Amino acid sequence: MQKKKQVNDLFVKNGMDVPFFLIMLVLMTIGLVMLLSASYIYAFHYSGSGDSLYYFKRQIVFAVLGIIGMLVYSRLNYKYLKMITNIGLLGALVILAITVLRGGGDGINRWFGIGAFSFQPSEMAKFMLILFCAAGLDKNHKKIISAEPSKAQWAQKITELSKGSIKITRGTTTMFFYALVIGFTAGMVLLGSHLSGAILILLIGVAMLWIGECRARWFAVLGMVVAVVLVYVMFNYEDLPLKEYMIVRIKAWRIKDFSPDDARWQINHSLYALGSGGFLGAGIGNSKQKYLYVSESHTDFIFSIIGEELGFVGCFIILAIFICLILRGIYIGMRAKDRYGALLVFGMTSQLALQVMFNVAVVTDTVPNTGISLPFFSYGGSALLITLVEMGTILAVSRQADLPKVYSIRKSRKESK
Amino acid sequence: MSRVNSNLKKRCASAIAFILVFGFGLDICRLFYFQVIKADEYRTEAEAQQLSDTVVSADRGVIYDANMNVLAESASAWLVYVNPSKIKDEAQKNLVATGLSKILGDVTAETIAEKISNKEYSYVKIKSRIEYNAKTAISEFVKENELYEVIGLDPDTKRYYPFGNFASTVIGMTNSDNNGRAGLELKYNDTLTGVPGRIITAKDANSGLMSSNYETKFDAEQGTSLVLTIDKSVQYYLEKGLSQAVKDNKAASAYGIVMEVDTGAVLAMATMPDYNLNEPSVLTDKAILAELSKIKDEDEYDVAYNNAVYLMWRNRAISDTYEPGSVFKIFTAAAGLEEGVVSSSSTYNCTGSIRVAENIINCHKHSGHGTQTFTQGLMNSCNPFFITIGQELGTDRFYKYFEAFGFTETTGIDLPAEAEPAADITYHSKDKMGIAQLSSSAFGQTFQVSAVQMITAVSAVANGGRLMQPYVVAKKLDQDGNTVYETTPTVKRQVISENTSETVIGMMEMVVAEGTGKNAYIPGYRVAGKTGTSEKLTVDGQYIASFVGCAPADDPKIAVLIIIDEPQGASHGGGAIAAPVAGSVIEQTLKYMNVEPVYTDDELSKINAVTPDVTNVSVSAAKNTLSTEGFTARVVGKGDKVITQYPIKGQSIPMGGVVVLYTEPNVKDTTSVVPNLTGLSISEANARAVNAGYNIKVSGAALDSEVVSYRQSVAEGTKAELGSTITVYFKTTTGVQDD
Repeated sequence: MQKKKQVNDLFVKNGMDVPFFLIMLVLMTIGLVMLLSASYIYAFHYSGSGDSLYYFKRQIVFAVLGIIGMLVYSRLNYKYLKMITNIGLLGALVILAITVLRGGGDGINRWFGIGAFSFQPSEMAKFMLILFCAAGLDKNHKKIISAEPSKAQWAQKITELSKGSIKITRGTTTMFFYALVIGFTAGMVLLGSHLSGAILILLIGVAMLWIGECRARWFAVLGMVVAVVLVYVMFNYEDLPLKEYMIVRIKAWRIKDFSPDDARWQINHSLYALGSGGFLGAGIGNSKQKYLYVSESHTDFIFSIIGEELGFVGCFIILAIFICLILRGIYIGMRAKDRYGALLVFGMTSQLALQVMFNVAVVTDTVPNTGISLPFFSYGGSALLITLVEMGTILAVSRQADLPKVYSIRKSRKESK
Repeated sequence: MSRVNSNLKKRCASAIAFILVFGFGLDICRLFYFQVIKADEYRTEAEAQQLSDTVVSADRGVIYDANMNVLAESASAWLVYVNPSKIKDEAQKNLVATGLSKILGDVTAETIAEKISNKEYSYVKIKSRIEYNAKTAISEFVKENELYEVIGLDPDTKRYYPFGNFASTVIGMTNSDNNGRAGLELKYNDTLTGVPGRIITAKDANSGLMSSNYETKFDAEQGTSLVLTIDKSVQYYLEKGLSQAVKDNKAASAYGIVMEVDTGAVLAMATMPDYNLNEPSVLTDKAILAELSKIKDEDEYDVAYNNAVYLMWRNRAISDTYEPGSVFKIFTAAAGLEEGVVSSSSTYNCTGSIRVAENIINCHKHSGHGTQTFTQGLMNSCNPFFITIGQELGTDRFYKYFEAFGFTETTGIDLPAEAEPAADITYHSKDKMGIAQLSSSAFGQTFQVSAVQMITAVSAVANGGRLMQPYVVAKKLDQDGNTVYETTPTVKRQVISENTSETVIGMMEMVVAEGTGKNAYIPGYRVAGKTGTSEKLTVDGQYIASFVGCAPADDPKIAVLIIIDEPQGASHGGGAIAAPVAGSVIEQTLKYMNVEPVYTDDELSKINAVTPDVTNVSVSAAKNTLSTEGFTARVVGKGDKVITQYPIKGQSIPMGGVVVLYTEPNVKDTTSVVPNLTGLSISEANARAVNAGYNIKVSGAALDSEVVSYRQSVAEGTKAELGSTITVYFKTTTGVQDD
């Protein structure tokens, strides 16, 4: 009874998963140190303040406040998140729409400002979409895995028209509903000229649908369609109705010595930085490429500076720590109290994994250059806060998960009780 | 207690596995590819952009004369560059262009503006080798207008020639890139050029500096220095003589060489007119400038100007060839003596002409020299005599010596652009040397030699028969002054025997003592020599007068060759105009080399004496003392005691010279007007000078009774202090005709 009461409270007093928190702290610490190293030259020249520590100072404030906020937030009983799911996603879409309408030009409509605080609405949309999918896929789990014919009129009509050869199940209609929401959200982000954000949202959505146990055959079909589209785009990007900058970036990725307006400047210097680092790296603080060669060296391209200073070994270790965090997240998800908690954690974790994967893929010229930040490393207050909210959500789930008590902070207190 | 079903777990595990394996796996592979496999390639690319490699020019080696006087050295200079990528706007560009143009002077603002208009460049050199003043002015300009990022100065070096025109055609100069362009600077460019240093600095993407932590410095290494065989004093005597000769004879040019006969070391080499090594592209010759000013077309003028500049740089002593004329008789004589076809006492009867095959060749003395000994033949420079000797030698033997004396090859002197002898063009090859060619060659005509070939061959005659390889660089020094190379004289071959050498020098001494070379006679020194005059083959009615001499005749140390090209004066003969120059160079050089003069009694009577102290004695006593010591007294004032005298005691003036005795203090005017002392014999000139209250110093062929003065050091009509010494130059006009 005592326990049940606790769970029903708005806040949970159970201990969180300490390993996950510690791994995250390690990443944040390394991230801050590397941000300092990667940003001080740029800060000195371009922050406008002449203060080499400009970005570092701001980031550390966000980090400290963010962690405190995250710890408080993680005490939230995550079932109450369901209450803000619909309104949250709607709000995110409205903000996206406002941003798109207000913007107009390329690039500048990615940000939404409230007073002095500005953030990328796509970040918020990502988070809200995960909440929405997690809640919906949990609630409608039975429908999704159902093989019964759909009760929807349009579905029945199709079955009728096809004389029964096409049978649309409830699972299919449900999935399409979520797919539609995901697609719409991604579309809104894409309208905001944020291709990478849109792709990320699509991928997170697909991951959510997959985890939500939609039928595997759809993913096989999707996989084939995506592959065909990708190959088509790779060879016909110049004829597609894409925005000019997108074509240029794809072209710069496809043609390695293509250089109108130095389209490959950033990526080439990123590769120079990685090569300069070599196996063991130039040593922390010793990057030369950060001397204004690698643009955005403190944000999206911070990993190339890490590569130069810490070498392949350092990159590998950092990616390994990320993997540890991801695996620990999965572990928490698998031991979550309920399906909703598990879906939340899996969504957040795969979001993080995809973002890290994509960021490094951009830096290594594996995919066309697109703006994806590296969680815990890239400068950016709002991005860091969103990341910490996501981590906080995982921690919130962990507080109610069935985890070995040995990791719990509350262990001693509980024993003493 | 998990409520998460196994399907969810499977889906989740597969999704994460997919991301980790394909996503992270691919990332790690790509990182490995760029950071390990392709690391060097990309690092090189990165460094190519990050590193700015500044070359620090090395100081060129110093060029010293034989006594370590600096003839050429490098000093600090600067080069100014502009970083166009930092220029804000058109106004700033114009400011930079006009500002720099004003300071630099010789670069127009338009040129600079044009150069710096491409904003993609970050380093555009405007001018190198800027001197300190301009550098300071630029720094000021940069400061005033805050152009710190736009205009920069880099260290550079500049070549300085402390003596300007001195030995210009030998030393040569460098171009704006500090590379040798002519003369020794060109020949020894690799030696003189040091190893440039480098400063490798890391720069950021905006060409700003990263920090000095990334700076690597390689110090510049100074080039090797040269110590020449050229002696500043001897060079000075030669240059002074040649430039006077050009002036006196209104000649196109005059050039000459002084060589140490035993080693082939060049003590002096000069071409007049010369040029200022510090401003090598500026024409100074007024005659040429006047000629050029007639050209109206600008392009044509530029071409003509440049050609004139190149001509001015020409080291004629090395690069020009000329018909040696009678000077060559030395070698015909040597060959004849060596081969025994003639001896110094052989006689020949010159009738004034000789028949060679179909042609009659006249002697320059149309009446003929009559019967003469071989020595007299050389003294008279008798053509038929030498034709006969040539014919007696025959082509084979004549050619053998022609070749042995080095007239068919370059001397190999370490100077650039030595004239290359060409068979059947500059000389007759053995195969094509018929009787006519043999005969004309025997007295020095129908072929050409260079001055350096000539003096090297004469040195061989003088040094006992060894043909040396002439050289200008005696030593090479590293930057700490250690000798890293020393030239050892190279004997090319023995051409004639010691005996023949002595005999020929003896005969040549007679040429100077009593023959056509009289004007090279120097009291106290035994000079051997031979005159030559030849008509120029390229220009009608123009002559080349030459004289070659060596001294002392009993043990020759130096050989001097003087060539006067296109003299326009009353006389164009080598004996008349080249011999006096050679004589004066030999005299000064021997004195400088501390060769003690040995005077004959005859000479002694004409040499100088030292003035005694006759102050503070009575006028009569002073007069007495002076007359007993062979001087003349001239009294100024009415006092009876000598207060001061001029010249003061201990001065060297000619015997019979005047000493002015002042008997009153504060004599207002102690000067008088210098009389004309030219066109006189020595005694006449002395008498006239003493009469006017001056002393003369005799210069030139002092022994000959037939000498006539032709120049005086203080011009007629000018005021000069009583008792001062005027140098009067004498030469003989008779018996020096040699063609």
